[in-house]
Amino acid sequence: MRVEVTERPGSVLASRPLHFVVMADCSGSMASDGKIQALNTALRETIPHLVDVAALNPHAEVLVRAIAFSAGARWHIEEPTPVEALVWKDLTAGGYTDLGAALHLLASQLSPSNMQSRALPPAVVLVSDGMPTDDWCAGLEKLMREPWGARAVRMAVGIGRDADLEVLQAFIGSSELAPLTANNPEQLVRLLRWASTHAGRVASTLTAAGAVEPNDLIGSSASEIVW
Amino acid sequence: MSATTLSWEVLTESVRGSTHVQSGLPNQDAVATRLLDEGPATIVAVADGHGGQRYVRSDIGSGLAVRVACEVFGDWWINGGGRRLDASRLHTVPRDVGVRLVARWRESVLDHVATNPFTPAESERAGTALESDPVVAYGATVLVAVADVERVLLVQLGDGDIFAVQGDGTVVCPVPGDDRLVAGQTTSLCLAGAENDLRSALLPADLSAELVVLCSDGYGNSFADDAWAITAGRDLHDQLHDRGITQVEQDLKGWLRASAEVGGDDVTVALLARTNGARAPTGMVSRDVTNTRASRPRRVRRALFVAGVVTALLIGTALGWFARGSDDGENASVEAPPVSTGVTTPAPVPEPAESTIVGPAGSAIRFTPDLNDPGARATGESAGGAVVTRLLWDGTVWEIDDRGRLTARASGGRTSTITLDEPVGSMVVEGSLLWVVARDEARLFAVDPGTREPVAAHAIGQTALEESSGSSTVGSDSPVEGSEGQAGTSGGGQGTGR
Repeated sequence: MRVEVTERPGSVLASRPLHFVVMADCSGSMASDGKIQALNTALRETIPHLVDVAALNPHAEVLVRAIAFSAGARWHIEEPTPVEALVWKDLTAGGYTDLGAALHLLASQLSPSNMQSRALPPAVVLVSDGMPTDDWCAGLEKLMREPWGARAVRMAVGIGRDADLEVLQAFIGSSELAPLTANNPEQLVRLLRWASTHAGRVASTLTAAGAVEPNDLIGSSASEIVW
Repeated sequence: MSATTLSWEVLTESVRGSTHVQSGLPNQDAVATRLLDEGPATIVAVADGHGGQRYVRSDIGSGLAVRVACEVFGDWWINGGGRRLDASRLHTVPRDVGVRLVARWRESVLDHVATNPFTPAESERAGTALESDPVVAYGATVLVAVADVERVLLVQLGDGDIFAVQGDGTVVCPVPGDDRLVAGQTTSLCLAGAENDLRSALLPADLSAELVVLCSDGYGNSFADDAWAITAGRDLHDQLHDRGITQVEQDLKGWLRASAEVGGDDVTVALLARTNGARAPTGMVSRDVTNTRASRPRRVRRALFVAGVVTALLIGTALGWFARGSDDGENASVEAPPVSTGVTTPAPVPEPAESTIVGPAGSAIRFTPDLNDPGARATGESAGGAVVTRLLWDGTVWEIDDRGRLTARASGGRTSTITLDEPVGSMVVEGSLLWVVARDEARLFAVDPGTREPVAAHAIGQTALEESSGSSTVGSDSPVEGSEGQAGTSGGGQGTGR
C-alpha cells in the first residue's frame, strides 16, 4: 500500500516489508516417494493463503524468497517478490542435505546492511526430510548472531520419519513450539499452510500474537502414513 | 549588531495506529509538555509503549514516562543543574538526571500496580506471570527536549527519532545512534540500568536550528525511504514558513493519520519551532501543560528570551522568517528585552567567514570552510554545542559509527565508507563540503559529497587547542593528508580528491 497526500510532509508512505523465506530441502531423498512433488504442490497451495495474510495486514508488504539446499545452497527465488506476483517454479531434488550452507546464505541476507530498518521481523519456514550433511550448527550460530535472524519468526516442518526433529527444534529456537511432522501429502499441505500463515501473521503483527496449537490440524488430517 | 527575542512554539499530536484500532489496543504513545518560567524553558516529552504481548500496560507506562520526564527535567532545570550543562558535560546527564528519571518512573509504575493489581486476563495475554517483575508490563521508550534561552537539550532512551532542521533546510540528527537498536529491538525504561542507555545532545542557540522534531518510531517507519527525515524535516520546515503554524496545527493530525494507517503503528510527533516572537509578557507565571494522550493538537506558545547578542546577518538570514503572519523586517527590528538576572550571555558569534564544529570532546573548533585556506583555525573553548554523528544531507545519510568510521548511504541504497586516516567523531556541513573532526580533535577533514572522497585535511593546532581565551588562533598550517597541492589547488570547494 502506498499513499500520497497532497502537501503532506515527507516522501511516499508505504507498508512495511515482511520478508517470508522458504528453506526447502532438495536432497536426493526428497526425490523418493513423491516428496519433492508434494512439497511443490504444498507450496503452490500455500501461496494464496499468504495473500490472505497480506490482505489482513495492509501495513505489511509480504515479500517472498526461497532457498533450495542440497549440495550447497542457492536462491530459488532471490528477488524479494510480492506474494501477489509470485509464480512458484518447481524445485527439483538431488544431492546432499547442506542445511548449514542454507543458513549461511539466509544469514547473509538478514544482515542490517541488507535489511531496511523499518522492516517487520522476517518469517522463515524450513522444510526437511533428513539429517544435515554439513556443519549446520555453525550456520545456525551465524544466523542467530544477526539481529534480524534472531528476531525472525522461525517454523519448521519435517517430512517423514527420517526428519531430524532435534535439528528442526534447534532451528525454531523456542521451546514452546515443536516442529511439525507431515507423514503424507495431505498433512504436508495443511502443516505447511499453517506454518507459513502463522509465521506470516506473527511477524506482521506489531503486537505478537498468542500461540496457536497446530496439533488439531494433524489430527483432522488423513492418518495414513506415507513417508 | 542587533538583538532579538526568540520564542518556541510547540505542537504535539498523537494518533492510534491502524493495527491497534484493528485489534482493540489503545494508543501506546504519549506526549506531554511543561513550561517553566525558570530559564524560561519549554519541555516536551514523547514516549512509546512497547508493542509486544508482555507489555500489557505499556500505554500506562508511556503516560507515566512523559509525566515523569516533564517533572524530573523541569526540576533539574529549576534547580540549575540543567541550565549549567554544556556539551563537555553531556556524559553527566545519565548520572545527574537519568537516574532520577528512571527511579521516578519505576516508583510511579509500582504505585500504579499497588492500586491496580494485574488481572488474570492481563497475565494470560502476557503469557507469563507479571508480578515478579511488574515494571516490564509498563515498558516504554522516551524522548525529551528542553529548550531554553540558550540551547536545546535533547535526550533519548530507546527508539524513535529526534532531528533538527537548520535555516537552510539541512536536517541533522544530533543525538548519537545506538547500534543495539536494530531489528525492532530497543533499550527501555523497564530494563535494569536504563539510565546508562540515555543518549543526549545539546544544540546551541547559534546553531541555526529552527525546528526540532521528536517522534515515535511509528512515524519514521511509515515512510518508504530510509532517509525519510530529510524530506519530512525539510517539508515541515517549509510548511511552517510558507503556511504558518496555525495551518500546520490544523493539518498535523491528518498527516499523522496517514502514517498511522499505512505503517500500522501509533504515531506521535512533537514540533518545537523556533521563532522571533514578541517580547514575552512580564510576570508570566509558571504553568504545567501536561498532555499525556493528546486528542487534539497541543500548541504551547512561549517567548524565550535569547539574552545573547546575535549578528544582524544571522538574524536576517537564519532566524527572522519563522515569524508567523508578520514580516521579517519587523521582527528583526525588535529590541532585546532586559536581560534577566542569572541568564548567561553567550559569547558573540565570530566573524561570518568562519564556521564552528563541535569536536568529539566538546571543543568548539573554528575553521574557514575554504580549501584555499591551508589550515584550520581552532580554539579550545567549549561552546555548548552538539557533537553530530549522524547527519542527513542532500539525500544521503552520513554517519559516524562507534569505531569512528564515516559512512554515506544514499536514499537509493548505495553505501560507501569514506577512507580517512584516523577515527572521526563529529561533523558539520559548510561550503558544500562535509567537515569531519578526528576523535582526538587534531585533524579536520573535508569530504566532497559528490565523490565521497576526502579532498583535504587540516591540522588543528595543538597550541590553539590549549588556549582558552576564546579568540581564534591559527594552528598548524600544513595539510596532513595528501599533498599540499591537494589543499592548495582545490579552490572553489572542488578538491582534486585522492
